[in-house]
Amino acid sequence: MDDEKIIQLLFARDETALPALEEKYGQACKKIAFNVTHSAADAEEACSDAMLGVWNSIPPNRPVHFFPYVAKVVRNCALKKARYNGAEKRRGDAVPFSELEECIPAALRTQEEVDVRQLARLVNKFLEGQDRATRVAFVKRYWYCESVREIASALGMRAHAVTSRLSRARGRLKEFLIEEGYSL
Amino acid sequence: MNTQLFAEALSEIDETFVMEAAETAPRRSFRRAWTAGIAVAAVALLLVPAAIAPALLAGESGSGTGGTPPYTGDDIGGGTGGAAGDTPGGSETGGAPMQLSETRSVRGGVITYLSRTETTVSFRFEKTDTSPVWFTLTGRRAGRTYFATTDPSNADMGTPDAVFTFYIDGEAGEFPTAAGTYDVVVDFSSLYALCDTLGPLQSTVASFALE
Repeated sequence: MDDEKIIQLLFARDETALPALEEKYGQACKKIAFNVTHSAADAEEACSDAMLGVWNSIPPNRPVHFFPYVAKVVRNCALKKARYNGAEKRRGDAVPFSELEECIPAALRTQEEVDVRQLARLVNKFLEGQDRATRVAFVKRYWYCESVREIASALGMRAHAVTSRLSRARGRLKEFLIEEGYSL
Repeated sequence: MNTQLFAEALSEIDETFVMEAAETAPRRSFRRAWTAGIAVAAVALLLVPAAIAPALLAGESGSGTGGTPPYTGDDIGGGTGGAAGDTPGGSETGGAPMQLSETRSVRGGVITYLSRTETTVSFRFEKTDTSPVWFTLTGRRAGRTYFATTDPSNADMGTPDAVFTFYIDGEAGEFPTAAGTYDVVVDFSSLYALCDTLGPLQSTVASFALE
């Protein structure tokens, strides 16, 4: 079933949209959730929460790109689950978020409240300026939480090349954020 | 702000970047590797030390097109005599599934299958040389075949990070290269979880089926 049809079913409040959604994107969603939580049970719960989230948000939303919309809901649910469980500490080796520490300027690190959307806009701007391979590697690593091996496979690179590319990208992102006002 | 919040901020990045990354798929899909993995369904549980893994994957002789990494997904299970391709045939070098308490000499040492639980298997490996070691494991559980390898050259063969965890003498980690006797516990939980996220939904509560 194509995305538009599923969205139509959601707008019609037709519950057959959910199994259709599950069939089409269920595996991808579970992989995203598992990558974030590194727990099958948490991933399952996150996906269930996300399905409910999609059901509740469409309508009124009508996403242009359906998969990223669904994936984002799944990712957010998984992040909440991970944060709730303190999983980012307990399973720090399994999620790449610790790598992001070096992206965060000191001034930003001490702020309790951050305009997340403003930060996202800056990250968008940063990504626009990167070459495609770096951008894909960055998004796969820190959005999809994929392993370096998976990314290397997707990009046809060696793992250490991906690691280096990501490291340089993190450094550039930190500099960029400082230039954009997150300075000491 | 902590990294978790930063990660949440990343959720708001442009959807086109998310799409772009999603559309940059692995050159060889997990699905394909998975299908190939089913070719070795005849093997209930196989523990294969690194040194013989290439031979196992390629067939008994270890030669032939399947014998040179990187292996293709279709090489899994091998063909008789090292032929690559779709021919299922389980493993010649690895032989029949190991039985509990069985000891088997393999290149690089001697392996003894000690015990199992629903989600783990334990074995002892008496390593006789300093060559790198990796393991290929195949198991059946709840009617499904699970396949995983630690062979780095097969990293894209359906075994991304943490598909299973080694506990060497109680410590999680990679298998050492030094010669010696190692008691190893392999925790399959994450493999099951990963496969269940990628494959059709299946119960994960059934026992690990071993011969």
